[in-house]
Amino acid sequence: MADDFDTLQQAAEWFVRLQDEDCNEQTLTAWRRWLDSDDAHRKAWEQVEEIQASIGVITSQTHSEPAVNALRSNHQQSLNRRSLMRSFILLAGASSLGYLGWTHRLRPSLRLPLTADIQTATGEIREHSLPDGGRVWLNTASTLNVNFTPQQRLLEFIDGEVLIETGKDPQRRFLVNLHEGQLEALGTAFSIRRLSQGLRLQVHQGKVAIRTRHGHQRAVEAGQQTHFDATAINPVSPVASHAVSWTDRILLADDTRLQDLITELARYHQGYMGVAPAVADLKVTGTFPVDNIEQALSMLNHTLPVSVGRLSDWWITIEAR
Amino acid sequence: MSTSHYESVTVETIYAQHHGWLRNLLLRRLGNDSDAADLAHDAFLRLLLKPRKFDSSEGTRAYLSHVARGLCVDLWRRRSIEQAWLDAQAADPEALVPSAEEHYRVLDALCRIDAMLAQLEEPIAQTFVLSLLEGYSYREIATKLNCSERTIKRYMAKAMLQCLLVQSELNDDTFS
Repeated sequence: MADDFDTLQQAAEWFVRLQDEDCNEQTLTAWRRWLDSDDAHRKAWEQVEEIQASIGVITSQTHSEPAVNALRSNHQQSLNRRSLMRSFILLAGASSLGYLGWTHRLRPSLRLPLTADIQTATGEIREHSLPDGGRVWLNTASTLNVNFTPQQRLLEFIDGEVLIETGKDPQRRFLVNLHEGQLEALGTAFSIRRLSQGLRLQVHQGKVAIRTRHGHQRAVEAGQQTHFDATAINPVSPVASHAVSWTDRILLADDTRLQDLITELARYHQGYMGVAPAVADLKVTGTFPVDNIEQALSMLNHTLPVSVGRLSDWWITIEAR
Repeated sequence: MSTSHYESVTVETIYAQHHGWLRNLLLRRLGNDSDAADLAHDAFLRLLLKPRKFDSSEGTRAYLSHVARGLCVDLWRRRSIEQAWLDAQAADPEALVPSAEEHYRVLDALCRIDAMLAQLEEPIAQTFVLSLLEGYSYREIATKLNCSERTIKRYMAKAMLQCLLVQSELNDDTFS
């Protein structure tokens, strides 16, 4: 459905005016005129009515408090996570699939100003549009500074993990400054993650040049990844096909050690998550939601001989059953 | 295998070639065979409603696994909001247990609104809930959130726009 963004925006504004308790006959007349002036307006308004209908189903029940409370509490839980609707899936990797955006749909994220410091809390995943039309996704607990000038497009990656899709602008270089050195993106999509030591760069499209602070250089091509720090760049290896599944708020485990899976999941969780040594090496396969730790733990409970112990929401341990 | 060969492939053939694979993939993701069977069914239903052309067997599987992944996310969302609703019903002494039909109707609406709320930043989401679900006026919300009525109207316009965008995605997924 190719709803025109501007028309939807107008429809949203009319909706706000009509909801206002100060709404009068004049407003209604103006609204009707808008509605009749274009078929697209009418179509957009039908969309507004569809949303009102869903709300009506919830609020018109005899006793609607539990349903409203459910929405509130569910939203409360997701306050610190930002979903990226599943519409934009990145299939990254060295396979013949390469990096594909199946469907680029109308994307609501706001474009960042030329300079901005953006960050995500633990458990939060967020997408932003860059001033050049590119996009960035910040994974849990990440910080990125944006510094665009007429001469260059400069990002500063501080912490966490980001996926960057650069916009088209052959006139200005696209640079990412790091404590360890600098990356130059050459028409690309790539992700960077800060590890306990050094960084991991994964290139999904195009090419990225690394220059470390100590002067080492290497170009990393699509489908390749490498670890590096200020002093050295490791040889490249292939990127796993599910490398950026986190943008879809899921974690793919494919014969993964339980300990490794929990270490990953723990990034999205405030507090401690531990695995007993006796079960740390069990192998897990599955798709785990990163924004629903309960669901993820209950899946483990069902598929592995483990039990989940919990002293509090902040202290979770996984032990042999 | 030539492209033209693939263009002539029917949904039945795709089903025969990939259904077992997809179901297996879903089983590994969900750890539950009946969920896996349901979602595999849904994925093919979607293909039937909106036929697509694929240029290779790999392309077909990539598409199916993309659809399946979205369906998994939907399923978790749905379960999560359903559980929250059941919990809220249990905690509310006045709550009536809805009929099965009513349950599904309300749950569908909850899923839609939940998907929309998930896209809203605070305090926009809170404004949306206060206004549309709890019936407060803009003025009352402005007082509650300690900001101007103008700001509340701006929040509401942003919220509705975002909801419209989410809805066009939801509808896209289902029908087109």
